[in-house]
Amino acid sequence: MQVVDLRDKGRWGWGRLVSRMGLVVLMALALSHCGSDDNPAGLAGNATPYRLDVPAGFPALEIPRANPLTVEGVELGRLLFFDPILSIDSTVACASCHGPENAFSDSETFSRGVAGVTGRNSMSLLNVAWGPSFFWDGRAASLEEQALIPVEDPVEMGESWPHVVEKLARHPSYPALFAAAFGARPISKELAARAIAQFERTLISNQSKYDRYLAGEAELTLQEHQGSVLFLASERGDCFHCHGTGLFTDNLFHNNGLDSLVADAGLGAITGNRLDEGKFKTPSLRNVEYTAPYMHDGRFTTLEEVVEFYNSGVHVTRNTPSDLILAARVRRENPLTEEEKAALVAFLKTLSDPQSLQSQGP
Amino acid sequence: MQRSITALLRGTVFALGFFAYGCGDDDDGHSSTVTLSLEHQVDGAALVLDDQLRHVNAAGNEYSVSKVEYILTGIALEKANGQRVVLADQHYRNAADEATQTVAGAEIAAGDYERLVFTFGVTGEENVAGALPNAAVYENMLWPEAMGGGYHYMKFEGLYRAGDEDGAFAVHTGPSGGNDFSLAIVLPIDLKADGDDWTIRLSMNLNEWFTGAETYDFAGLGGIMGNAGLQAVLQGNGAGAFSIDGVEAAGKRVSAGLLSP
Repeated sequence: MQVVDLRDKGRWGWGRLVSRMGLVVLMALALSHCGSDDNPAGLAGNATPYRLDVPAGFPALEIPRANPLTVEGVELGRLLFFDPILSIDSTVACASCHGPENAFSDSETFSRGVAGVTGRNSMSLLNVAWGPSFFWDGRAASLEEQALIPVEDPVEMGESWPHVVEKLARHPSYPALFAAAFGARPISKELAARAIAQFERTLISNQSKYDRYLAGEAELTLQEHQGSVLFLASERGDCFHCHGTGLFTDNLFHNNGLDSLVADAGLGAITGNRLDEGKFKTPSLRNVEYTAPYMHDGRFTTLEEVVEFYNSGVHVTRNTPSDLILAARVRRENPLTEEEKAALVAFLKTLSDPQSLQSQGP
Repeated sequence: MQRSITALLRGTVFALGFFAYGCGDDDDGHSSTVTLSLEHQVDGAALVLDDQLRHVNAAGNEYSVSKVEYILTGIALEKANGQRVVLADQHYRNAADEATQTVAGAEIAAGDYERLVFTFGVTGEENVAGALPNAAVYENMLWPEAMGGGYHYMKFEGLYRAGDEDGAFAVHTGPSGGNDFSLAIVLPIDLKADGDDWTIRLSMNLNEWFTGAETYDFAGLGGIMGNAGLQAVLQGNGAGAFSIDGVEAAGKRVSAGLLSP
């Protein structure tokens, strides 16, 4: 084997990339005129396509072909999201645990349903459109699948879908709204879930101070800037490996060393793999100022407590990511100073986007 | 006017030809489809992702492997005369995700191809955020601007035992301090494109990253993303990690590279 330096041959430059993209467009055209056109918009009846713009710096967004966003579908989803009609005693709506004022999360340690408290803390739904799987343990593979589950969870909403469908069909306005969104098909749990998923995909947060700073429209204070450096320093804060910039989550599952003995297996309970024990989905840090308390079990009340946990409290388990273990070890030997901890919290608060909390309720 | 009509006609003929090409069968009959399969091993044993200290490196550290993710760019086949056909501009591989194992088949013109070339990671000035496709897998490989910017080349992690010391290692390679530690790899190959569909099995021996002019020892190491010295050691060792484990078509197998079939 031989190793050569190919750096100067320009085989992979921007120009080449751009010209190749042009070719891809041509080829796509060529292909498009060959195949039959299975326009997914047909699934949405005569509804109006809803245009969702992907913010700069966010990964490309994949919306299921079977559930294209429409103005009518999003509106129906919004109404269902805020309507306690989905629960057995009409007291709990999706928004009860995912309220706009808490960045579509809530302020409880464990969220409350119709029959008491659930087993986990509520996650923010902002930018949920980019999630490849849902719930802290990833047990739902799509938003459409996710939206079906709380209704029949005995603690959360305690309802049955056939009964919800019956209530919706008898309702003075829902039948017309379903027809506008999905055409002449009968109301079903699948259509209700699609509408809710459509609405949830429109919950986007990208107007934080940090976004404006990146766009050159705002300045970070010295302290916030110091926090951003710590956030991105692999041997200091090392936050970015799981909370990479952009979405501020890798949307993957990690055991972040909360406990040496795992009380809630998280992903491990779903996969049955002991190597997944204690792994939970990385929550986005966008709007983290509004989503207290923190972690899957809401054990930390403040951001300061969270930072202190990563500074001094990480338990090394066999499922904890190596990069986290290493950074935690460095911090044990050389702890973050009070000034550094305050800087990290100050930086985290630059991810707050008050605009995304604007009530979208009925 | 005459000239512009001629140009228009020419353009139309070209476009129609192109579209017809897009729909019709390839009547060349000699081109081949080449697929690249990215496989991993530790000194000949297939890679298992778990927490068992089943491997030993040159420094005598026992270790397990929990994560292997990396990016290849500029993947191409080259003829003896240097003529090159690109198989893929870039590819993200995650050893835990079978869906990333193969670099999708690319059609190559008839002929004899003698080398497989690619860059492990992203080369020098090309390695800037946004250069790779706007997908979550690449987003998650971003390397902080303060440490050079661009993308990680590799995230290779696991647990180790060095003497009495139990620990974790995170071999994250990338443009530490703005230096280019990517690897330009050239592997000899013997592939005759003659209508067969070929699969090239590229093998990475993970233990080779720790073996070479300088032995890589996990003991006492912290994070290494900011450690250009260790990045250089890994770059030097990593060149020996790749080999062609086989070039296969239906009913045919042509061995090449360092490993015997």
